[in-house]
Amino acid sequence: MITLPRSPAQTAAELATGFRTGRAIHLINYHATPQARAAQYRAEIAACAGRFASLADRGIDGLMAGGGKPVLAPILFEGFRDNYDVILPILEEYGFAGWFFIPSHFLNVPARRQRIFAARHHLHYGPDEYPGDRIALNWAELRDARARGHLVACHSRNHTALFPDTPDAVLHEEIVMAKQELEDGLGARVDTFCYLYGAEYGLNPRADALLVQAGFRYLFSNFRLQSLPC
Amino acid sequence: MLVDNAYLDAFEDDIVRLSRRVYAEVGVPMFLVPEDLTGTAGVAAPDPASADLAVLFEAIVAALTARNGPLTSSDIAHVIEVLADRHFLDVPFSSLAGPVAG
Repeated sequence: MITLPRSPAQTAAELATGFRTGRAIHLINYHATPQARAAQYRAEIAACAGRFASLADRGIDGLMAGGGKPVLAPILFEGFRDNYDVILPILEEYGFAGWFFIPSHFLNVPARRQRIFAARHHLHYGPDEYPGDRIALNWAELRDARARGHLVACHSRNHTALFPDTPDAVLHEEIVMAKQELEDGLGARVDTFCYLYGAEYGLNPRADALLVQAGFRYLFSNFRLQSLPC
Repeated sequence: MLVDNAYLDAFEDDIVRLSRRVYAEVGVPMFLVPEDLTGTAGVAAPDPASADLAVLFEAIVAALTARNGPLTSSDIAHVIEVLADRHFLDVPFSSLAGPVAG
């Protein structure tokens, strides 16, 4: 479900203009990363080694600015535990930093409730490699990942889709409370947001205003990484 | 590069093949465009050395529009996914997918 603030034709024309500047951002979107696919992830990341710079070296501003060796942004959506256990060591082995996109409340859900929370909030979890145990990251793991040079972004609080008619209280919870909860758990500032389904700026003006008010600097969407108005 | 019917057929075959991936578990390469909405940065100038991706994207969008009618937002995503699969590395990214351990 991809919705856009302008027509697909106009969006395509804008993207072509963006590609023409030579600053296309190279990313790989991952969600759950089960051990059963570890060999595939290793092959993918190994093939990127030497060709791309690490996100840790250039940061988000460097990613936006482009220039030099292109930066690889491995995106780790949803906050699943197997991101930490399976793909993070592979990224580090080949010198790359990952970028965690976290629905903050998922990490606070008791282990016994995490599977039903995932099922009810569009967090698609396939093979269960942690039977009887938690499937979400815990805060210690996320803090450790950040300390090791990986990045963290906010992916709402409950992995909830936000629409132009979503009530203000829900927008506040999913944007403002999510940022606070994530920063409290992480012990660090988080300045990037991504809506469920990857909406871009301009589609939901009330939500966009809250993003700016909350202090987010970047919006990650399906086709763009946008630096937000101050 | 010529985007003729044979090229478009193969491109659409790749759209179909890649759309069958288990998105929840596999790596999906993608290109994003940076956009500055702060009003503090100047407009980025075109880079002639980097025009290939833009030219190919425009040609494919035009050809698919001529073939299928106006593209949807999902069509655009599919086009970029195929371009990323083909051009991220020297080999198709999806060719790196091996057997899944049991």
